[in-house]
Amino acid sequence: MVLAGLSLLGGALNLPFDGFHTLGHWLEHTLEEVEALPLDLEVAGLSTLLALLAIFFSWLIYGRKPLEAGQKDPLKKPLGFIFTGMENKWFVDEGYWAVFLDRYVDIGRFLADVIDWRFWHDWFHDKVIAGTYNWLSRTVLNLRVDQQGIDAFFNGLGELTKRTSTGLRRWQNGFVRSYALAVLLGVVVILGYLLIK
Amino acid sequence: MDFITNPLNLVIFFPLVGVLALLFIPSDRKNALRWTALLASLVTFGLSIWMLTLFDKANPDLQLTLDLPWIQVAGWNIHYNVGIDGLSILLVLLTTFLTPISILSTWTAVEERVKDFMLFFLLLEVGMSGVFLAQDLFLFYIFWEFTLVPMYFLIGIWGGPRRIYAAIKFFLYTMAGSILMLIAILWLGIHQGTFSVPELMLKGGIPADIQLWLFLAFAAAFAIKVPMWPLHSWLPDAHVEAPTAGSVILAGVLLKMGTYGFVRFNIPLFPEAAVKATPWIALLAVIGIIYGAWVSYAQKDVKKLVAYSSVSHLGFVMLGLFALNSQGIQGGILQMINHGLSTGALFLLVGMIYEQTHTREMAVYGGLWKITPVFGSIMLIVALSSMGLPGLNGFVGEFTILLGAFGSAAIGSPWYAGVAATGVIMAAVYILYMFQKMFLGPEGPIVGEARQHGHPLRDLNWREIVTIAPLLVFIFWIGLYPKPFFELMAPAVEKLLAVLH
Repeated sequence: MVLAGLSLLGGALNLPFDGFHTLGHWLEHTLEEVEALPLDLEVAGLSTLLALLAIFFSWLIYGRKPLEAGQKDPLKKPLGFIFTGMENKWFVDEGYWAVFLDRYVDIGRFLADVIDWRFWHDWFHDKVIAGTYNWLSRTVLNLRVDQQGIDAFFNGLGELTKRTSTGLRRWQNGFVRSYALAVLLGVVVILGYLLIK
Repeated sequence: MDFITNPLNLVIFFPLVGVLALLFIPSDRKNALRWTALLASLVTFGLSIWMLTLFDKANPDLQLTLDLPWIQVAGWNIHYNVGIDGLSILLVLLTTFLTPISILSTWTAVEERVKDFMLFFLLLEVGMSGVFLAQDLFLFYIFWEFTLVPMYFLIGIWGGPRRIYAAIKFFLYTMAGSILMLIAILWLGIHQGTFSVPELMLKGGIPADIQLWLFLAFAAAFAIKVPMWPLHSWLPDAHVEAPTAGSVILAGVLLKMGTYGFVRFNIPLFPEAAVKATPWIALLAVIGIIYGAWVSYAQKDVKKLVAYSSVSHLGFVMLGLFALNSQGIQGGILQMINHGLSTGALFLLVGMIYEQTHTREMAVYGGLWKITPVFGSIMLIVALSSMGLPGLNGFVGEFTILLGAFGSAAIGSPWYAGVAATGVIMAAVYILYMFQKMFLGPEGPIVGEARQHGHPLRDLNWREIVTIAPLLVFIFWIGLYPKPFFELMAPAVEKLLAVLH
């Protein structure tokens, strides 16, 4: 009923007479110019006629004697399979669902779950971009370059110094006799060099 | 003195008065804090209406301008330069309009750290108005980056369970693009000797190959913000985790900063590159329209559905802007406003039901219309507006955009508009699906659960109706009589197009 009322209003809004044709004027701002179509009597008249005929026939069949609940439709027998088809809307809805809508849903889910979320959001952004950054930061720079590279190098230098000094400590034992021996050895070497030369 | 009395500066900085007042209110006086923030944002809205009365809509140039030398060191010429024209006035009004609405929506939703929340919210408003009013690239960049900080905290403190991840992703993603823009801004400052947008437009003369690089650098920042496909990956995270008011501002205003950037900077500063890039941008826009709509439909979380619908809607805006003709750009700008109204309203409504049920899973809802008739009816209007039903705002914008894109010489083929038009139908599919799932059919499990817990679902209360009603007014107004809105922007759009030819 509401739809019927609204379609009356909608039709009336654009009646092709002066003062009406409101829709045309409303769109003028964006469309710039709207042709005011003349009333096409053939199309309008024919469809009105057909509609009136249909109303008359349906009144003949159903209007005079309303159907009881459960009573068979008087048209079921004479129309046969046409009636069954019409009753099920020619299975258009079912066919439409199977051919178009189910596919639409499938593609939607695929785009949303696989492409947008698992591939683009989780894999590319979280794993590739953020993951690579983390890997570069934690593994490459922090662990390999910083801890195992630069740190290790300088720690190694420290270790080397430590070992060298441990070795040298044996010579620096604080006994005057060992130092005197070293001086004696040095004197012998220098004197020997001078003598041989 | 000029600085303080300039209407634009008053609009930008008045929220700071609110911030100052908030500092003196003890943290536990929550209602006083809320009222103060609301009042500050309402006064700011009032100031923006005053600004509108001073605005001469027949004048295509920047108005109410203020240009003061600011930082001038070693040949660098940075000015404090603000001004408004038809390209930005609606966006400034949208900002000052949505802020009080968002604050009102937090009345019972935000109970923790109310003071900090309101502080960040008002600071965010300063940044957003600044972005739309700055006419110096350096100043623009400061406002642009500044908006990130309050939003980062709004998501990171008052957000959902994965709020830290979402906040950091939002911040880094946006900033990555902005750095490229900063480099381009520096190039312009060094080679053209000025950061002033009007002066740069007058000067022109950037070689075509360099234009293309500068265009791309600016586009990187803006395309992430819009977000254009495929740079949208931060958006669902940010939207799902953000508190309701944050989502409203994020969708309503922050995304528009991206599309606005394209109209304000990319097209007039690098016109040759813009023409060259148009088919590619149009292609990404159309992919975004279809992809966003399709992915929306498959969502189970209603907030995520609305988030992806933004990718689709903003695709329309980009397609309109890069039609590079009068209808396309006007439609694009109007659609920015429409999206702010409709999507803002959608997020508000989702937030209102979430406050009661603490779930956004569509599967647990059902049959809400019977239980909450006012809520259901308002949702239906907003849903229809979002899918572009004639008579409501979305239709006017999308129709004008498609008209512009269809006949656009720059895009070069009507096919883009043709494919984009199917996006309108796909929008109807996901929106009506959402409405059917949540509001029609048998009662969902959440309804009985709420009843069992002694808190049966209630309809909207007066505060919630007052929050959403102003949006409905504009949804109908723009849908039925968009002329005043087009008139505000038309001269500035014509001026912009003159630069292109």
